[in-house]
Amino acid sequence: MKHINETEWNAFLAGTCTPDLAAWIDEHVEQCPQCRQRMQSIRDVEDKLALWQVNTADHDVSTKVMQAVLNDSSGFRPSWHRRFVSYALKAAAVILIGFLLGSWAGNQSAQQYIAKQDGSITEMQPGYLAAIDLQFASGLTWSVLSDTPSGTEGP
Amino acid sequence: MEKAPQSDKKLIEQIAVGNPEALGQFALRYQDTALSLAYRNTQNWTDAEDIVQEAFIRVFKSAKSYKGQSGIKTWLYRIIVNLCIDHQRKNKSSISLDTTTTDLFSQSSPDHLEAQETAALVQKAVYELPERQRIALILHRYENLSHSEISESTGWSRSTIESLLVRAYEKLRKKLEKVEFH
Repeated sequence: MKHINETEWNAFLAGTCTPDLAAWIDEHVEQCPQCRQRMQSIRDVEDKLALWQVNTADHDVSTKVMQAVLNDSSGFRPSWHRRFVSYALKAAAVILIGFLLGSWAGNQSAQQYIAKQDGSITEMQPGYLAAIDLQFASGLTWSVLSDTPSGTEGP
Repeated sequence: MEKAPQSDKKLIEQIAVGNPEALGQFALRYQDTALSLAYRNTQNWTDAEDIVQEAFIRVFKSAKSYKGQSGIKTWLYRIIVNLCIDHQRKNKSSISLDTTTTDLFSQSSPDHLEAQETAALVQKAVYELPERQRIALILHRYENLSHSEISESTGWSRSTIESLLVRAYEKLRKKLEKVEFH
């Protein structure tokens, strides 16, 4: 008669037997005194494992968790609050950038106007090129005004 | 009139919008299970409490990203298992076990003393298992999770779980079969 082997006993204890194997073990244990005795010893191991009980009654974590969450005011604000702060910061950044751009553009425009009044702004040298001492040489290139082209110096 | 207890799903929805009271209720509901799992893994109450506290804070922070793909209990188990693994790796050299397992055996009759001694042997035998075998065994034997639930809680495949359980039970059987207990 084939007895239940070690692998089969381990699978039985771990609950990993196939239904066919479990049925065969049950049937075999009925007929085989040796395996029946072994089954008793397996059941004893299960009973021993059940003896390790854990009593959590003296350990309260929920109060500590609540305290930790309530104390951490920065990290645990309600989500609507976090969203409001985030939107407000973005809006403030957009307003600031708009203000700075507007201020810069206004300044440039005023400078151009003054330069036009002086007659120094021409079609070939708009204000932004005049500011860096350049002018259009053609539709695509610029030329540097301050440098005299080579080979044209006078004697 | 007393408020009816809220479902887990409702609690998680409220936790997701930052309601600390909902977190308190959730923690109260699951702290025994969570502590039991953390304690069986670490076998130290201070560490177990720290792990469970951190687990609930993680629930609070990540409730928004919980999509219900696994059960809430399984999700909590997964957080705790990961924290236990992290804790074990960080404190490899300085682990101290609490051997006061047996509050339930406070009477001192010979039967109770014997049960207490056997429980201490079981505790030691479980603790001596390799980490993954221990986690699989605790979830299976003490938290009564099915193989699929253990797989969801740990991220390990079902075949891995089965192999871990077989090896864990084999080791325990070898150690505990010899222990006399009547």
